[in-house]
Amino acid sequence: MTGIEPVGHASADAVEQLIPLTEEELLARLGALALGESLGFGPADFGRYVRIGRRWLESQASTLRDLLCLSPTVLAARQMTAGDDAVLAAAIADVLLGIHDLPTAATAALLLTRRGLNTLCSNG
Amino acid sequence: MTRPAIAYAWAARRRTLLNDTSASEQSWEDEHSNDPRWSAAVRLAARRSQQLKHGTEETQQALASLWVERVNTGYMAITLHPLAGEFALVADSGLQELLDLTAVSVARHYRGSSFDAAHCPPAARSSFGRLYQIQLGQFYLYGRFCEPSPAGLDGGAVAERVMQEATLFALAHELGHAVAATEHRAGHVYWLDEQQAPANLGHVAVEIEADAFAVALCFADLWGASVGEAEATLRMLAIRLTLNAMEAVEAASLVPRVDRHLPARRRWNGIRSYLAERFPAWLLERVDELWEALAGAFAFTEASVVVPPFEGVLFSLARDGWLDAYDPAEEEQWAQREQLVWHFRLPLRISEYLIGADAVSTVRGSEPDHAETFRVGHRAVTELLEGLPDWLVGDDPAHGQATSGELISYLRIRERWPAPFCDGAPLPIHLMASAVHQRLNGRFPRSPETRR
Repeated sequence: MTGIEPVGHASADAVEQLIPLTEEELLARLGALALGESLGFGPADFGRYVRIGRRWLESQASTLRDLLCLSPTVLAARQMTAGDDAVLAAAIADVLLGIHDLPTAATAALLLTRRGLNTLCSNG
Repeated sequence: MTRPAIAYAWAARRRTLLNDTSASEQSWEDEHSNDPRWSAAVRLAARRSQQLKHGTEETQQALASLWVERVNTGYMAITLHPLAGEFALVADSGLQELLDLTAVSVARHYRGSSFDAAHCPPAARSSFGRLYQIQLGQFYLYGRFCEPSPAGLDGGAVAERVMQEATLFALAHELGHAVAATEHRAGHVYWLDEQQAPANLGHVAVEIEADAFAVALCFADLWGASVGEAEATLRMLAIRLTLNAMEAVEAASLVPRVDRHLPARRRWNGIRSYLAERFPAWLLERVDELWEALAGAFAFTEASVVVPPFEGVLFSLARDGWLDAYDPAEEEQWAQREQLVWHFRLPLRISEYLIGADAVSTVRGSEPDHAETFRVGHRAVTELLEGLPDWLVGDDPAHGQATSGELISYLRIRERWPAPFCDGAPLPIHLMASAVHQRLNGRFPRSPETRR
């Protein structure tokens, strides 16, 4: 027994698709997901989405910390996947699926992985 | 009318994400909006809808299901979010800021009981245009409105009416999307016959429908009524202002999304042909003439000389009657803002030359001639352009498009600078952003004064 739950294929696939994206693109995606479907005329709003994505992460920091920092799945994944962002992010996304939809969970998970979970977990 | 519960709850939950100020600072709201102006626009739309020839009931249903959430970030976006039969309209404050400014200028052209270009001397229009360039320049430099217009700039009751009608048009356009929500979400027309809709319009057809719906609502109470020329003129100018403001800000994008909405002039021509069936030709021609006079001041144009005027912005606004008084201590701040925007407006070749001059300035013993200096700058812009990431220059409709404001933020990290700046002189970031913008979008339009 490793103590780590097998990571769902859906999470792994969703994270894999996001790997080529930069931090700005991931934040913009998170911002767009927070607002959901929209009609209407919003020109040139990439920066607006980035800003909303950043604030989403800030506003969720406490919840994310509670969910992730002591999660056995995440702790085990951190030990086993040193340097492999995709695998760790997929494990984090699996945990986040309890409260967020898959696109949001995968995007947030990859952002948190790239920023380093230590950053999140040491700011409690 | 009761508050649409789902849309309101959706917006309230997102206030901390959307706003710069905290939700606890939010003090005003009624059943339509958290902003008095938007609320007034919803009530005005409800009144006008009673006089629509068609669609009164569905329009009123859409209004009853609409919550307008004003957010104060200065962006120019207005987005309509469908939520289980209700709608949240998220209206960023940038549109109102820009329309407020332009409404003051329109009001200056009203005197007695009529609008006329002659009511505002060209010199006064020109000093207003200078202020407009600085304010619109914020969209190019930061992607949003960060600094307010000068205190005391007030167009009185006429400007307030222009603003009200402009807000109504913006609301009514979105309301058109809400009424036709199912079809428009799928990219299909709702009122037009799909078979007869011109094929080359593509998804712009739903925007044309929303414009048609909006203009019908904005003028609903005037059909068959004895119409005052000034009132009809005011409403038409308000629509043109709104179209122009949207286009002006779309132009700040590094990759303007021209296919989403038609150009403002074409949108107006469509609206005009609708109005031509209801208003006399001479009235529409007078509005066109008035707009031509106004529009010169409402464009982001190429700077005609290298440095801004020596005369202070606030001084010239006061001299030309736009301000009763101003604090001379603020003049320096305005000069700095104008300087930044002015640099951004320099013609591409001059920007590239100045970039080259900065690049060679730190090379000891180097004395290149003007042509070589220009070539160094041109190469640096080319190198940067070739290495820019897709999120800055690409076209991803799902996540919006970047402005030169995001490029400026991106260039604050030295590792991203092109040669020879990466290990040489500091990069002139604003000049570089301007050069990239113009390489991608073409030169800024030349000002009417320069063309003469």
